Amino acid sequence: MSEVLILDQTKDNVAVALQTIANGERVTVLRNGDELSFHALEEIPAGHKLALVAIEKDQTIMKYGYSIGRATQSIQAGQLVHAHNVRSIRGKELLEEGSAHDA
Amino acid sequence: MMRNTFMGYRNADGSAGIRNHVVVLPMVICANSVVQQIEKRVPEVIAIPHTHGCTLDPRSNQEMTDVLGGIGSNPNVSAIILVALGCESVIMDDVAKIIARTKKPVETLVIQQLGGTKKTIAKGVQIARALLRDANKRERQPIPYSELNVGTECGGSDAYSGLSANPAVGVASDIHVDHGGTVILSEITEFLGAEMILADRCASPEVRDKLLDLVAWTEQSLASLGSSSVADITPGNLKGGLTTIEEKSLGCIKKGGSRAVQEVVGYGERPTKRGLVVMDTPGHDIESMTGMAAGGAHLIVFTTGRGTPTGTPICPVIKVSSNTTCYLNMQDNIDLDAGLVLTKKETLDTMGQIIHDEMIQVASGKRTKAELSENREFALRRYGSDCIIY
Repeated sequence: MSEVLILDQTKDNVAVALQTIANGERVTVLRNGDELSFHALEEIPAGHKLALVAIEKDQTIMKYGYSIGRATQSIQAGQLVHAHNVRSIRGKELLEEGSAHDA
Repeated sequence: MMRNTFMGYRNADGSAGIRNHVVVLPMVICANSVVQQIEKRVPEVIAIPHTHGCTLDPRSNQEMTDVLGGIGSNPNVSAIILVALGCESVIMDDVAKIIARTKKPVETLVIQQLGGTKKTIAKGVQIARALLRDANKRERQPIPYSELNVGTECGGSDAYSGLSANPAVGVASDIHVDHGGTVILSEITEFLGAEMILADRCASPEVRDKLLDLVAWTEQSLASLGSSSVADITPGNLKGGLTTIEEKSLGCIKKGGSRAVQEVVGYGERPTKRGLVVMDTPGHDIESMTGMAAGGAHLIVFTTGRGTPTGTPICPVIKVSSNTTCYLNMQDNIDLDAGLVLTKKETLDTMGQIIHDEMIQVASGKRTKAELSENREFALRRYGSDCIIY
């Protein structure tokens, strides 16, 4: 069983893989006292993030208890969460997405 | 009991230094060859060649004058030789005046007045030897720890940076601030998405306003570049598991620890307060470290996940890796491995204590890997040319 790390137990919807998780491997993790258990739906390289729960398109991705961007497509629990399905809403994205402090 | 002194040099103006460097600083790229050849003949001096110094817009020209003056004024520099070509837009007398306030020896050479390259080198070699003779007579003495100004930097970050190295440096920052010392948190580009955490820790509404204005200005500068097809983080960051600037920022600001933000200063500006201070520097590691050195930082603690060798000419840089693979891959360059937090051999608290102990040892003379490998990178911030956050 692979070790994943949740930075904020109540707010985060992603976790960090502390080592590479193979496609299909079972992931079991405690979040806020509840046991979450699902299969990795693809390989999750060490240091990368996977979804703990289903995330809808345009939903905010939470890590450390704060927004790290927005889902550009729906993401299932166990899928890799990275630049292919998440967009920043800050920096160069600001003009397209609006106010700096609305997240 | 808290250890409260390190062994440093007491300078003429009352400041304390942790190194005793005799520096040869060109005002302009055209003087690089002269400073490099002086260093070749007198290897104990530190030459700081750079690509700047002329044909700048007025704002950059003033900032460059101030930053070169700040580098010369850094308390680790015991004496300095400035070398001008003679027609550059950065005026050597202005730089010399800034440095002279610190009461250290400031010598000036003008290539166009001394007969050209070879004669200027000969003159510089003669002066350098005399300055070194005086510098080598100086001895270390106990200095209150509260006088130590520590810069923080991260470069080549990966997803582990925010889990191990940066929060461990944050623990060391808190220990240092609690001793009465100063910690500089840099790289405003890496505040985007995490600035409200810092804003809520500002010591006054004025500091908070200044911080948020600075972040907004930095973000507008990025946004005005227009193309969002290029990410605000590097290919290495992305490969290391970081997805967005917000995610990177939330990890980056942990280097500053958890204490109140006392002051926000400009690029290369000297803090007037002790405690945690924010400096306006770009995400470019070298330009950022140059700003902190010009602002009087004695040493810099630098975290990395991908691995980076960079140092500064005048401030020792302590490298802390976020993961053990990086440490093992770059043992020539990395001083401490915070990857031990991930493998549970250390806690964040014990790792922070280790980093803090290293800071004291380096302040007292222990040479860092970047010093041993003679990594002396130097670059100045320029306006409008930095659009990717390293």
